[in-house]
Amino acid sequence: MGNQSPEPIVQPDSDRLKSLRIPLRIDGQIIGLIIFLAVIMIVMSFASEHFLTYINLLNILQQAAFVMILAFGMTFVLSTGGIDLSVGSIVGISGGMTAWLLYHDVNMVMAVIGGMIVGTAVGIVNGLVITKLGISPFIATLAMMIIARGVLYVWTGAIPIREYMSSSFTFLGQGRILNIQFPVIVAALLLLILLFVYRRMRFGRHVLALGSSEEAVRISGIKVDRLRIKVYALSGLIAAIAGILLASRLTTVHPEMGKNYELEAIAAAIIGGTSLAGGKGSLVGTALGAIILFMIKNAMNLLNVHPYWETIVVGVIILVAVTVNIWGGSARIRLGSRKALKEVKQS
Amino acid sequence: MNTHTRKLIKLNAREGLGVSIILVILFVFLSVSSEYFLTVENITNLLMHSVFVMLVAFGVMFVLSTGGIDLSVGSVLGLCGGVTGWLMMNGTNMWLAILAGLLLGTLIGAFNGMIITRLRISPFLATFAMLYIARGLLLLFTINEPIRNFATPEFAFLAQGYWLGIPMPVWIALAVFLICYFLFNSTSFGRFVVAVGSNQEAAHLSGISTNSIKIRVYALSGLLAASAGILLSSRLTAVQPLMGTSYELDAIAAAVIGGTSMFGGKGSVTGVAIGAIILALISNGLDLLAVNQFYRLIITGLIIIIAVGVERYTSTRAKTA
Repeated sequence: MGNQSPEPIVQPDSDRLKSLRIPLRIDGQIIGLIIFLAVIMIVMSFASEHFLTYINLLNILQQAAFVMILAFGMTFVLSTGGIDLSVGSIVGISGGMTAWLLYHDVNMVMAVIGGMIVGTAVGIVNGLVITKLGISPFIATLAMMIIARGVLYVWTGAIPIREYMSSSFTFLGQGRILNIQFPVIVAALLLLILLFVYRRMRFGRHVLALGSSEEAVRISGIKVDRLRIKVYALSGLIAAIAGILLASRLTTVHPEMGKNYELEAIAAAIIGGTSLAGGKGSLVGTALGAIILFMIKNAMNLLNVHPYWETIVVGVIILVAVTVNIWGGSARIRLGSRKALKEVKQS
Repeated sequence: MNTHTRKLIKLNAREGLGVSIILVILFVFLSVSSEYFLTVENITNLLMHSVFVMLVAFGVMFVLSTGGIDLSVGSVLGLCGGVTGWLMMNGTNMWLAILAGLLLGTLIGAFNGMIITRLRISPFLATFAMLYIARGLLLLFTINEPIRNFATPEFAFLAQGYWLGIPMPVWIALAVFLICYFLFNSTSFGRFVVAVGSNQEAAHLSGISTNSIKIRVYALSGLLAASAGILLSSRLTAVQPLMGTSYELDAIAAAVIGGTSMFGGKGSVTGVAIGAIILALISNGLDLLAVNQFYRLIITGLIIIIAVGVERYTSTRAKTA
């Protein structure tokens, strides 16, 4: 008996090390999403001959890219157990800032940086209101959503910002590298960078820990308030990137730009298996979630389904995805506990 | 024992303090700065505007008190108002149509509750999905022709009539307020709601059927949203497919300004009513002061933050005192 006991302690430890080393950990959830995606693609390729073409698939990726970028930031926020409803307005206001700077003949790099600073600043204010005033993230970012949208209206006087495009700025939203649209490449690059931040850096681990147990994180000596502010700042920065790309893509910044994007971003993250209660998130899942969302919209378009059906289908898909996630999760726990029971019996 | 109850009363009195202060400050400020504000006409108008959000917010308050959230109320409001209008357009008796609308709202709410308790999906997600589904159903309903020309004089009286010089919706809101107040403070159901919100495990262990409480709470929220939708369709005499969009946010804002906690276990019917009136007061005041309409969004957002901050500050003071 005494000799046997160390073994089970060593094994899970090495397992954990392995899972940390592999940057692209594939778990059941991701496989489930890929299967779901594959089913849609197979069904659609029979239903419409225009679906499985290179151009159409690239189009889906291009449409999904903006929401996907937003959803990456949302994944971080949701992982802490918070929520950020202001990202749609940040898309508008930071895209507007970049466009306005370009219109006034500011250097393009400076204009892009200006837009990013605005987004990050709004995010920091969100974080400060949540941590220092103790207002719940839902209400604080809801108020910010209203305020930022209002600022954009006052600032532009409800007149769209136009005629700011230069050839180099056009490239950001409309250019192609190797025939792939630039926003798609930005989304892919962001995914890689954020995967590294989320999985390998201390910040990412702290974010997940904060979502699981704030008390434990505080007791282990991490500055919870500062961590939370950083997460909302990151979400603001990422929203600003999406806003700048969108400003280049649309060539005009309408004061309504980015409205309701927060809902699509939350939906993408949730379909991808991120938990609203915090402590659990997956960036790869989020990316797949955004692609699924837009692939379905594209499929309904090709099948000439009336656009009014879209909202119903999106709602049903969220329910199905979440139910599958929960049932998959509890099945795994049940299996795990059965295994543990067996081990106990054997010893 | 005696001191204990006295302390309780004091605590209760403090609970609505923060919001009342803000209401009074806004009220005084507006009556000084605009001569049109303190007229009977304007005050009834203002109350009238607050009613629709207030009805929805009562239901949302119950849901928030259990620690849940209901994002579907705006869509349920639109759908139920639309169904009532559609039935009347096709010649159904007015009372039957209203009953059908209320029933539909209750059923959607109960369905929300079933998904949340049986499938164990988080309330945010389940009602978020329902927001899409109910809105889509209304869009399909209005696909061929808009819902209008359905308001008979009796139906229009519901939202446009006056009784004793006070608009009917205000009377209806007052009646609903009294019922909700009684339900929340003086029935076992209301106490169970708060118990489930403050500690679900403890409530479950003390023999409360938490699942059935939750289902009933979401059904109540659906019912109240439907009643607001029917009133609104009577007020507007036409149902736009986007009717009630983003009402859920206004209702949550009104509830939270009124001292309801987003994390459950704490709510106040009076606070919610005051919260809804504050929201209406802001928009009315900005109208009277002829503030550029684009500034309104900024000011509304700021006041929400300030009101919630003040409410939190006073309630934590009350707890420590």
